[in-house]
Amino acid sequence: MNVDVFLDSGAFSAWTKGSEIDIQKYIEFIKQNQDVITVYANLDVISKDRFSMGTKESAEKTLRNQKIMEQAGLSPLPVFHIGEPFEYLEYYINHYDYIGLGGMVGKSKQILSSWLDVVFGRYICDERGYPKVKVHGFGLTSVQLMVKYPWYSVDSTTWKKRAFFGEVMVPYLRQGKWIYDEGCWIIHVTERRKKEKYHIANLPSLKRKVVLKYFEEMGFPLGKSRLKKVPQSYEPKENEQWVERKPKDPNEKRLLEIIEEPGLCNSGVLRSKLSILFFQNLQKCIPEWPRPLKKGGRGFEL
Amino acid sequence: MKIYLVMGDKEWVKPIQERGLGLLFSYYDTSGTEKMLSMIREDKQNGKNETDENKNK
Repeated sequence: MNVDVFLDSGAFSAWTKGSEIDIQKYIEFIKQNQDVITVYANLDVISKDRFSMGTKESAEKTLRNQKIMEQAGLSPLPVFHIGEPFEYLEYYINHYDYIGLGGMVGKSKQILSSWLDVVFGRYICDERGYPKVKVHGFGLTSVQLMVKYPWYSVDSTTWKKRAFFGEVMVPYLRQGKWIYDEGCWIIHVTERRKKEKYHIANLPSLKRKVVLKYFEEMGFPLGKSRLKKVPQSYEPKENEQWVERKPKDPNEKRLLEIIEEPGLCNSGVLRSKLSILFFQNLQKCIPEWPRPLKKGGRGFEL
Repeated sequence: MKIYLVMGDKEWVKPIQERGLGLLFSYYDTSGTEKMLSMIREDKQNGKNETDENKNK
């Protein structure tokens, strides 16, 4: 089976922790593992700007790293960030056939769509709306943004984060068909999040029926649990699990989940598996690259 | 469009791979990434050996 492996430098994570990545060590690591890596990104330089918006300085340093890696015999994916001068984007478009767009993590959908409209509309796409180069979107979490722009590839942490926070992604249902490429509902399913507006228990009955139908068709039971506060010294039984960290005060009771029926409401593993299925179906329903830039449409009113 | 899911735990490599999605690793988490890449290398090697065996049958 083919394994498609993308290696990112992790420069953004390093930046958020106040550390820096040694480019020579990064180069060495790629060389040692090139046999299993399909694509690897340039070591991009994150701007010191408090909103991590790119600047001319960060763009110049990023380009310098690109050259250092190329001189070492590598072909990294160049990365252009939101906020950087567009002359760098033009340079990458003119010199490479596959480029990355970064710096999108933590930016609002409105900010991103304004920027991406310019990036794709004025620079990447030709007069017919088709992309001139392959583009990877780093850290793209919005399904609408994935669908609207003609990406060659994207990456997302959403599948794991949502599962961790007790959420599942549910596609819309239209005329008996699941629609993956117009966005999705984010539904809370855990007992602990029962007060959330979009918890399955609080949905209008028709919407709840649709969500349950999706779970059933995908083969994932919702499950059943109840919560109970117990002393911290309590030893959970086989069908029980802690759902909160140990409180600092040793006398304070700790929240325990008693699993009556295993399912999405009490298993992060099942929620992650359902997320993977969602992304598989999303990937399947987006036309092959190159596809034209979507103009207008139903992209953002959801 | 190819979707890469950002990886952290090795138990997810196979389920994601089987669904035709890509895997994204971060160099910043060198030790974790190194372990997972070795695992993928081993699997690839085993797969290759199996194919070679089938060819020889």
